[in-house]
Amino acid sequence: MMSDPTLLVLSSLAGGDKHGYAMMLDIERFAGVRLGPGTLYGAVTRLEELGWIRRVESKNRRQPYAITGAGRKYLHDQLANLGRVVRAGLRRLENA
Amino acid sequence: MKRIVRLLAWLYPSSWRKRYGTEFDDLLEDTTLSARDSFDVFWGALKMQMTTWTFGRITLACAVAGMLVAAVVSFVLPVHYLSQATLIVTPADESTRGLPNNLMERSIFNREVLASLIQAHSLYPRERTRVPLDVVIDKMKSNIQVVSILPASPGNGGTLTFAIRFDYPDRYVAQQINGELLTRLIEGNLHAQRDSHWTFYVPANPSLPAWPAPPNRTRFAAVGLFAGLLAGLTLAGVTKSRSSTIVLR
Repeated sequence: MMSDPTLLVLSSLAGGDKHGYAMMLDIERFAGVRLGPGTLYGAVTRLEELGWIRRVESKNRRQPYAITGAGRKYLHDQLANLGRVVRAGLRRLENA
Repeated sequence: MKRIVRLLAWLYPSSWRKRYGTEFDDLLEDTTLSARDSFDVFWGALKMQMTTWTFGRITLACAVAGMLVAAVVSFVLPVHYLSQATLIVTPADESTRGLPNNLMERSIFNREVLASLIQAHSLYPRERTRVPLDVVIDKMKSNIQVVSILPASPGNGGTLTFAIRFDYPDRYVAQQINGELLTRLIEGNLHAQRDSHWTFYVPANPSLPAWPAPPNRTRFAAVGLFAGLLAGLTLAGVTKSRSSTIVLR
């Protein structure tokens, strides 16, 4: 089960801007992983510092975030790598 | 639970709270929180503190924490009492000068003697249910101290003064067993008069300890400080290398 909060948050934001609680629900839905509030905001802080996500203006009390171009590229590269590993692993399992 | 987690959220660095505090509190408000979440928030706060602290501050904090933990441990350790007797040993002539080590070994530290004492007085009941008697005997050995408190010198005719101590969780038993050990030593000397010529004098009978013997708190604190320092250096190294890796990426 994928549990890297960085990839989970980026994957969630790749589907559209979200605030913390929405990210938590979305991640639980698509990955089956419930990130705790501390873990989620640890990832949000790190990703914002790295410039991979950014704050979005909102009239709402809750603060939404959006994935940036750099974040999208990082996510793409990581998922491509992961995909290669998954495919290789499955192929080897089938041939074993 | 929500209140506890909200309180734990205050452990985050103030600079972080200024930026994320409001939205984080909103998230806590929206979420159904569990005990696991309270640990998650506590751990998150700790990690966030680590990223804002300097190398020296992390090391110092860990060293102090280690010392405090060791101090707390030294206070919650089970109590034990130390009974002490004083024994003056005078050799009959110059030729028998020296420590009566054989006698000590035969009379006090002999495994059979200790085994009979353990069984006769039902000593170490908890240990005896868990480990073999041999291990219990070793434990008892470690609780007996024979310390030379006044060494022989030409001025005192080779007289030696010993403190015989026995350490046990019950003060009455500590005194009783120390008395038995002393008696065995004196009896051992009487039986071995042919090859040993010492006169024994007991100026102070085994004491009944009024207070538990304090653990060596200074040593505890020093060990805690050192362990904390090592842990702090490691943690600071890891934290700082991680943050520099992220910046470089």
